[in-house]
Amino acid sequence: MSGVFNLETAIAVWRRPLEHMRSVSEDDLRELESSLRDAVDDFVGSGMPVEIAFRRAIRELDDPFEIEQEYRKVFWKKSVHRNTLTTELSHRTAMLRNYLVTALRSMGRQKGYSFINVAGLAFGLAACMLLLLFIREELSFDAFHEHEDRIYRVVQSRDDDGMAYQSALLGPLLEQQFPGIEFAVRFLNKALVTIGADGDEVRSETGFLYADASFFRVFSFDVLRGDPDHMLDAPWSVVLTQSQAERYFPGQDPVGALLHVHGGEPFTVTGIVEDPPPASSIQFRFLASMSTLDVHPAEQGMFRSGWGANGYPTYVMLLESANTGEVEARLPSLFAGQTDAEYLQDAEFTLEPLSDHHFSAVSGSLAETSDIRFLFVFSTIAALILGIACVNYINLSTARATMRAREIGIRKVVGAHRSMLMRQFLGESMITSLLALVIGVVLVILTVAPFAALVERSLGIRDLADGPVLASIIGMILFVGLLAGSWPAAVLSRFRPSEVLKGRPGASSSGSALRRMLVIVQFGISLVLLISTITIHRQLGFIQKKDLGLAADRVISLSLRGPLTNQASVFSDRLANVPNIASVSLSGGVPTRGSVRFGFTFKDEKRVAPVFPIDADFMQTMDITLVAGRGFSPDINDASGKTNIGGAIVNETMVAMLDVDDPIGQLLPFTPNGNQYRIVGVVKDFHITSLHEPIAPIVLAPREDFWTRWASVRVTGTDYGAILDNLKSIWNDMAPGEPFTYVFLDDAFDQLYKGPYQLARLFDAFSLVAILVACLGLFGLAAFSTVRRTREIGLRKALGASRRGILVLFSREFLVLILIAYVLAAPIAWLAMQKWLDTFAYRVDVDAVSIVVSGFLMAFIALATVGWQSFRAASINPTEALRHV
Amino acid sequence: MVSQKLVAASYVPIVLSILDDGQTYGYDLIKQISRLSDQTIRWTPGKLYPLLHDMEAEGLLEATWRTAPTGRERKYYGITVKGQRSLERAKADWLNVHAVLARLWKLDGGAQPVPA
Repeated sequence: MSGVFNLETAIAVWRRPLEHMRSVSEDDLRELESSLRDAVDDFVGSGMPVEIAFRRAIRELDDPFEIEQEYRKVFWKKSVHRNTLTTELSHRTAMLRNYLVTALRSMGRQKGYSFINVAGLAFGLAACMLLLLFIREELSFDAFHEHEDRIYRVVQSRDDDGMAYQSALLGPLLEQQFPGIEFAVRFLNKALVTIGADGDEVRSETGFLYADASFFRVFSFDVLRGDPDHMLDAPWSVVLTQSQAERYFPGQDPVGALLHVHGGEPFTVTGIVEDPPPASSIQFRFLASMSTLDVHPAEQGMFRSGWGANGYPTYVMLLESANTGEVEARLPSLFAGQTDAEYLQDAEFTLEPLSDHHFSAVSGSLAETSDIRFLFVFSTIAALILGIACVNYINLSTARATMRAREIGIRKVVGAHRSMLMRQFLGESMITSLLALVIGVVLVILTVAPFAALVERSLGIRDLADGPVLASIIGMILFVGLLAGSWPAAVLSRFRPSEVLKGRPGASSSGSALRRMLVIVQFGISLVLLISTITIHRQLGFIQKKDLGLAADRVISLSLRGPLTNQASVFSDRLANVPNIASVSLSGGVPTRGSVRFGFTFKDEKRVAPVFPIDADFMQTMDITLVAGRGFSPDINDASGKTNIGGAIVNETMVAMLDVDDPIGQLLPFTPNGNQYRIVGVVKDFHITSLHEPIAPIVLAPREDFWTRWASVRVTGTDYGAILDNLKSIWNDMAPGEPFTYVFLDDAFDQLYKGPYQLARLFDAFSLVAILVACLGLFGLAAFSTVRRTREIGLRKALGASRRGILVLFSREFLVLILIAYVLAAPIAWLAMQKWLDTFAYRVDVDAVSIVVSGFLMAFIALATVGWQSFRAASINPTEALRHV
Repeated sequence: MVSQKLVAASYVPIVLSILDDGQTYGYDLIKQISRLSDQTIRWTPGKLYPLLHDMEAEGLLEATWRTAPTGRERKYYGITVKGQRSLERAKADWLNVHAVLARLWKLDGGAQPVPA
């Protein structure tokens, strides 16, 4: 390395950093150089060798960084003085361009590494940007209401998640008796109504919401037509959303028009509002006046007037001065002395702020809610992927550092300050992350649509420019640029020139220890994700294969409506004649929906039993197995529907709970609907809810007409289209105007696992990305290791090492890291998955097999990644390798 | 060594004073001050040249490039009329400060008589 010292070369090298400083002019530099030469001459004159004289002169000259600082002071004074903003700007762009050019050159020299860095970061940033879009959407729920912070809903709970449904009496009473409550708004959500405009065909609609007149004083939905303060005053008033207005009254003014809703008088359209935004936890398409229910012929009776019934989510708006705690504390006193309200006194009443509704588990929400854990899981994964990508950057940059050691050494010798070098390296990492951002945005553009479909939100690429999102992205880039850049920058700029120039790059041993640790972390994360993915899929497989105790496929259940409820038997007889229908059954509920749950106390324990009123064909239609006693016989359902008094069929869980040797003939320990039942038969356990919940003690009671809500058919053959056509024509014949509503029972079961399926798809995609990014990094490290150890390999081969020996040597190094990662990751994954599986009553275990398989899979992936490099290493020609410097 | 703050404060008057005797270049200024102060004041090029630059911009100095007999190019500085006025003011200020300190210290030490 050391040659004859050349003063001119040394001065040229010294000049270079100063040439790039915008505040040092060419004239200044000429003067400085002249001064430097004078000093060198002086020192040489006093007998010093040229090289030492040069070093001494440079030492006395201040380092370039400080020189720049001094010139900058003068420069700024001048540029302000002369008001040459444009000059300053052009200097700044020149500086930026210089940084960019330097960084791009450095990246271009090492295309492979740069690709790994940029691609890894791009994946990480894309994952984070998708996450940001999702979080933005989730957190923006209900924020559009002007009085959001003062709106609450009343929640009633008893050792459970609670429910928002309240008695219709509660709202008005709250307004009367609580001075702190400005308004109370009750809702009644009609699941399915049949609607038609004048002379138009009827349609089956969801989203028909009755609301109190003060609705628009509390909530800030945009009113397009009508008087917001009064349009829900009069009975038979309805407000339409804009899209419904256009649908029912295309090209007309709907205000004042009539809308026929099945079962009552026509409604008058009194106003139009904009469709509720997607980020609203109150969704509706029709808003009808609550006062209608006072006069509606079909809505009278105890569901309307008593404390015992509840179906009305009740929202309150507090005065600004009111205190929620005080209101909550006073709530129970409301029910004291009210008839039929005793059972409300042991319930706990709370006010749930509107901002919590979207993530609430309370039943009775007016829109689909979200599970906040989903958000946490996703945030964690996105952050982990970005972390893995940052690790790649740190690892590869510090590894490359040794190759750049000489560059750094020379820069330092000629006076580059450490902070200047740090700035240069940080600049490089910032540019890398900016480049990654550009590619990341492209990735987001490509993936936002499938991702939005997966999380079921409307997400748009345009929202990336939204204030807080944009700020987060900028923050993320700075964070990544600084985080990923600062470690290499610190390591690189610490190199001691004296060591480096002698060919001993410093800091490499501690650097490689850190690299190994980071690789372990990367692969640990990947392994946790891999094991989790496998386990989630195993549980889903288990769910699909689990014997439900009934055969849900090939069962179509029709939800009876209108006149069909009164003529269920006739309807069922007609269905039985349809070709390809094996059996028909009438019941009060079907698995997954419609059972009536009765609470009772048995041996001092509170229990809940779902009760299904069924007919004789139910067990055959559902394929439920009788294990003892008898089923119902067809003649129990005679015309009066009142026979077979007291017979009940129970499931095995009920028998186990009763703890009797011979259940047949035993009386049930509670009286559903006031009826005393004696057990006549026992069926094998079958599931009526998701596998999250354990099987409850179920009672199958004889069907009575007023309890009949469902007709189910078991079909043969596969021509579902023809069968549905036949069913529909009978339906339309018997219940003209009623929309034909049916469900495939296996679909109904599948829908119970929407969450787990979403989770599985999310894990599939993101584990893949995480492993890919980690492998990119490993590949880079292996390549680096090969280059670095070329001489060693040459030596080993010259001394007789075989190609296989080298291959093993190389692979072993990385496999050890994977093994350590595995030992650390397996317990973490095991714990996390146990926790998730615990949410299922019926579940697989995190078994040794999948943990071992994940380990082997990861080892295989890692081996395949380093394999090529190892092979290259092993194939090196020793004579060439030994020439390698 | 003289404290950095005092050195910084004295740069301008010293530069003006030296140049009042005739033109010279930066490196020579550094050598002169070092000799005049018996090496107790050390100027560095990194500080001096930007300052000369600044003084030139303010019109206190004027500069020209000349080639020395050795063939080396040097930037020579000379004092302007504005610089001379500035030097007069600086001289008065420094002498005032000097007089105050001299009186104070003579009162305390009481060693030397005050000249009439």
